[in-house]
Amino acid sequence: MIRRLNYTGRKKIPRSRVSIHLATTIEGHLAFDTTLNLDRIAFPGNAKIFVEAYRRAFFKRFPCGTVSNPRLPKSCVLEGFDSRSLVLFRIKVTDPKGRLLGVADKIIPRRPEEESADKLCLLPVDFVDLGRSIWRLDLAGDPPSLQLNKNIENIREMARSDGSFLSLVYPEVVRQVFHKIIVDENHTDPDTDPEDWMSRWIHFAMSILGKRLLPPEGESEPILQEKLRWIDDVVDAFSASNQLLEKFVQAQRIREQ
Amino acid sequence: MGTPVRTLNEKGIQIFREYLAELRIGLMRRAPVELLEDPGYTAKMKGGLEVEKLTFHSKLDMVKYLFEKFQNLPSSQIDQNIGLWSWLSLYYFDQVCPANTAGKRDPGQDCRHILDLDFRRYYRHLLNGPYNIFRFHGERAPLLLSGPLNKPSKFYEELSSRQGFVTNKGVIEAANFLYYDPHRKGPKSGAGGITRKPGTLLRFIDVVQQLDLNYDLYSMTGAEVLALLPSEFDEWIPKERLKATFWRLFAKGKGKSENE
Repeated sequence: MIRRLNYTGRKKIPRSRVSIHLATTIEGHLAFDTTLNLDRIAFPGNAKIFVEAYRRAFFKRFPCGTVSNPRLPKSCVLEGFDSRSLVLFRIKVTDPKGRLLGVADKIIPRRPEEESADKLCLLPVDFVDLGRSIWRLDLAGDPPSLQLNKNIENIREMARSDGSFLSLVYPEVVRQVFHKIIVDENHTDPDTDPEDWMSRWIHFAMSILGKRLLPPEGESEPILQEKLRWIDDVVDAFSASNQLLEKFVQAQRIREQ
Repeated sequence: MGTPVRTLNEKGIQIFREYLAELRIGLMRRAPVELLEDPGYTAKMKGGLEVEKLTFHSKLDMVKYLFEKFQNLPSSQIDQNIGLWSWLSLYYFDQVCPANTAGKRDPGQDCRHILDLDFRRYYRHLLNGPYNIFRFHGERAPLLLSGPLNKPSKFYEELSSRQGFVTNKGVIEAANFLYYDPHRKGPKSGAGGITRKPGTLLRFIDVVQQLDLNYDLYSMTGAEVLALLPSEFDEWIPKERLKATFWRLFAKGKGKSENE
């Protein structure tokens, strides 16, 4: 179990208070809008707000006014970022001397095709050159991301709506992610750090399992077997809730016609 | 006369990869430079760009040259273009993988020559990695851009592999101020060891990571970051007459790099 202690007094800005929407400009650049709600988080009015966008060696920082007078970016262009690549965001609130008062990090922005604004994105998608592979799950990232081969035409559309792709790829993605969380990292308590990506995935699992069924805790062999069964149950529930069997069968029928 | 810049296609990259594998098992083969202009293995690069086979004395020389060449092209065509950086590696292969006196070459991992965008490896490309540093810091990071192309220093490896360091101007300025020796045109000796001796590079990394929990280091200048460091770093602070050299260097580079 991972326990994180915060001795700094720095406040965590819940992800639910931040929303970042990406869009592609006519010139093909990536642009973003930010909405931020800091109500009832006790920051002084003169505290400064910054939005930071980052990916590998790319980094852009946008001053956004103060808590009492915020000026959040609207249609703000991210030059230098590939319009299809994964970019993460960070919100910082600092005092005038540069001390951190609050942070929300690893925020996954929403793209226009992602409609459900109230849902948090668990699995960002990155379009990269994967050589001869179609997809790959990058589990070393924080959070993990689904990499799709950008050289395949319509891969974005396929990953969103192709019945074969959905039914064959995503259950395996879910299985690998939970293996990493529950078995490799032995992270089983989603309440230790609810904002952590692993905790958010466990909350997601509990929501589709239909009951508050936590994964088993421990590292012994019988517990390991229980964990693997728990992961099987999650994958099954995920497939059922997304009607993946039906989508797969339908995709095959369309192909045969 | 220059050579028109091209990009290696998948087949070209595969042959380059096989060549690197042959070198690693000790075979002494000539670099497949015939690929460079072969339309079966390369594609034309937009913009009519040409490069010359210059000898670069340091990474800084190389990146300044390439930066100038690429300045009129959109960064989306350059920064993550695997075919382009792999082509450039093959073009400058004698410099990124020079033969030793016995004629043998030690290429190291593929990602040193063929750009790999995985976040654990992208900075290891011997041309694209330093290029990214220059794109971000201009001439203000000589600590990371000194030395020959084929030899990334401990400073380069440790600082470039950490996103929160390599993209932070104040932190990189502070590291240069502490550890760069303008007379040697390279890192100060004894500063980049593998142990965590007080005041050395690995301690700098530990301390900055701690400070990062409390301070918005991105808002700070190099001098402000230095002011937060504990006294163990004092012995690395340059003598008074050298300090001015650094502040001039940091001021000179301002505005030339990205994000300003």
